[in-house]
Amino acid sequence: MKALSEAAPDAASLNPARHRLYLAQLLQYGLYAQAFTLLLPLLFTLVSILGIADGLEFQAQYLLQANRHSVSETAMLSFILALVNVCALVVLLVGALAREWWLLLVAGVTMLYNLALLFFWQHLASGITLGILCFTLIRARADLPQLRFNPVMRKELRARMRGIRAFVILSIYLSLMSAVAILLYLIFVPQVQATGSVAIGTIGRDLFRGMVALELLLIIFIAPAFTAGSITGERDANTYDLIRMTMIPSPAFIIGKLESAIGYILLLMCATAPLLALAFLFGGVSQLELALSFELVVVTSLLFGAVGMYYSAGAERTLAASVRSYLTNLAFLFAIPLATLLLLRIIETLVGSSTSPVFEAILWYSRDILISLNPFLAALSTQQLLVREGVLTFGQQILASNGAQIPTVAPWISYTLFYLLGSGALVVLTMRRLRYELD
Amino acid sequence: METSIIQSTGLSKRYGKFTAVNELSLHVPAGSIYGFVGPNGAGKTTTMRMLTTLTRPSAGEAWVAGHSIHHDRREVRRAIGYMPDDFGVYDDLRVWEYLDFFAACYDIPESERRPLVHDLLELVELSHRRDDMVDQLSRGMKQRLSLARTLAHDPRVLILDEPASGLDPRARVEIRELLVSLAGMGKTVFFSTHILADVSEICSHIGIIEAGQLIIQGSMNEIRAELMSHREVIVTLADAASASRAHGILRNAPTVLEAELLPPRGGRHSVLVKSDGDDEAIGALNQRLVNAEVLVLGFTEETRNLEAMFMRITKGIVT
Repeated sequence: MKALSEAAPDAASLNPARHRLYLAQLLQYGLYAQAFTLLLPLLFTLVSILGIADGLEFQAQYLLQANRHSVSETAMLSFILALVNVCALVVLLVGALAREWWLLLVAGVTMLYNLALLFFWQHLASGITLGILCFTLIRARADLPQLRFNPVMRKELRARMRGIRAFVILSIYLSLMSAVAILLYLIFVPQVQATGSVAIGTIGRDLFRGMVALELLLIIFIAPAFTAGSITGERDANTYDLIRMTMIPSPAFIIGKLESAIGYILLLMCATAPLLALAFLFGGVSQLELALSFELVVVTSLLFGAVGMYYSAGAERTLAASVRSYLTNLAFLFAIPLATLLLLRIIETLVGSSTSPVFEAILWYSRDILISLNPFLAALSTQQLLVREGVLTFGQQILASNGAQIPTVAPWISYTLFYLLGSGALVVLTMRRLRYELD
Repeated sequence: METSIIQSTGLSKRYGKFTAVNELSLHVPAGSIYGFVGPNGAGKTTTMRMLTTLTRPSAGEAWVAGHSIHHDRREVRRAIGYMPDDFGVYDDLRVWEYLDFFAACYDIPESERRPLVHDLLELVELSHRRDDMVDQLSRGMKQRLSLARTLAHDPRVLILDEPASGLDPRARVEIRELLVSLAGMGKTVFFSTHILADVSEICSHIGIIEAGQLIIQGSMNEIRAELMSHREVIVTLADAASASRAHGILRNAPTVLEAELLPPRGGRHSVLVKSDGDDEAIGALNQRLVNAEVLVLGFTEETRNLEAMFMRITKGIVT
């Protein structure tokens, strides 16, 4: 029985005050500071528009400069860059609350990204993020050994991969994807036979588009199915009280469940990668597009998984949680494209040389925001921008009213940022719902 | 005065107009085996859920190992190993993975978990089922596995809700033995039951709850002394002749209130003795028979005592 008493963690490490890592606390303050940098570009724009002080404007431009010359471009670019850092800090904070080891990985990538911005683009605001991260990691270095593999994730993945279920889901998923690939191909064959010739790149691209759309659709319905039962399922099985009695913090529980769902979805995606690669046989699709599609699917599964989790925390039964998450999903899938269509009609009818440029810019930006809330619209317009205009990150929109150019962001970037922030917010809301129960 | 490891004052739980637990004041001494007895629906589970911080009390306060269930909830959970009545197990896990998972949830480092799981399985005698799936275990084994889980973080108090319910006699005895050996390891065992035999065999302390109210609590000896005016001993003898001899001797012995010759059962003859004496006086009765060269086959205190006691003090109010 020696190990019994030895293995028991000493009281100090489980003291309620230590329950929340110092690291998480510092990251929370860092997040506030980083959120403040979102204001810098706005301030800069204001200074430029009002032309208050040339010296100040120069200072601000120097701070935010990213090898761009126009005021609006600089402001837009630095706003997005700051938003990326805010996202990174949200992810880091959630990781610290759940004591996840991957926090170090994310911190490393964020630091590299900011270093690159600093050296190649002289974007001085990156220094703020670098400072926050270095300070946090050095001050809270004592907490680093507490980071670990999530026990809930490990348990869930073990249980999920056992037995026939995981195999059946994978088989059904692959059969569906293959069937659609064959169907798409069969649709194109008569076209070729009728016309005698066809741009082979078009076949490849359409095939790819169809497959990614199906993949997104399946993921949107699979991700909540995995997470909607995560808390209600434990309640139903009478295991939830046992978990509640342990020392596991609610973020670790939630993140563990989410990780296991996403882990399985990653497996599904890896399994379908050869099918997507069929598009390469025909050409017309670049590796970049494949990588972007992969990124979009992962981010999508994260948000929709978090939606299922959120409803699971508030529902008594898994069924109720599933119904609620699917209703939310349907709203995302149908309401947003409808709203976008409506907005496009408005733009079509209203916008002309007589509209005010500011109003027009607002309309265009609203369209962009709507597009980057829906996975299909975001994926499609990202590809169109890439193929037609060669725009991967930042582009231009010409205003009909005065012919001026306004800067735009590729939808995949805004989509990723929105969905990451949305997932972070949902995790926090889920934590709040479970606060009394788990903490 | 013994120090209480679980203590409550005015602990109450109301669901609307229904009062499940009413002004409960528990004292569970450290190191005791405390049987929490009451009919179904008396409020045993609600009380345990309040003590484990799983249910918020409507009123009152309780302390477990010195920590308030309102203010130091994590510390309370840290001090408790809890086994609910209708606990679930993860069917898709192996026995060792199940324990490993809970040990990890208690922040026990990976390097220490392996020997810990080994020791726990040895303690509950499941080492040979280490690599089996949890759902292949019998109910008694699952109960033992669950008990091992409650021990993963070396808690000071075990709160067990009906640990022996639904078990076959053999498994019940095994659980009972485990509880005794855990108390021997210095843990306080607080368990609920409606099986009185469990209580009289292993408990040092007892509390009886009915309709949400604690009717009586204290050490077994105190309660016996308080409630039973006399003790009953059954003396078993080989034949009718020695039975009547024994009857004659015991009838006139000091401290004996009454001696009754029982009708022979299964070829055995026996005498029922009612005495108001203490342990020494009861021992002296046996000595007296031996000195008179009466062949005594059995000399046992009647355990149904407790049932009689229970029937007397509970009013049969079942909510």
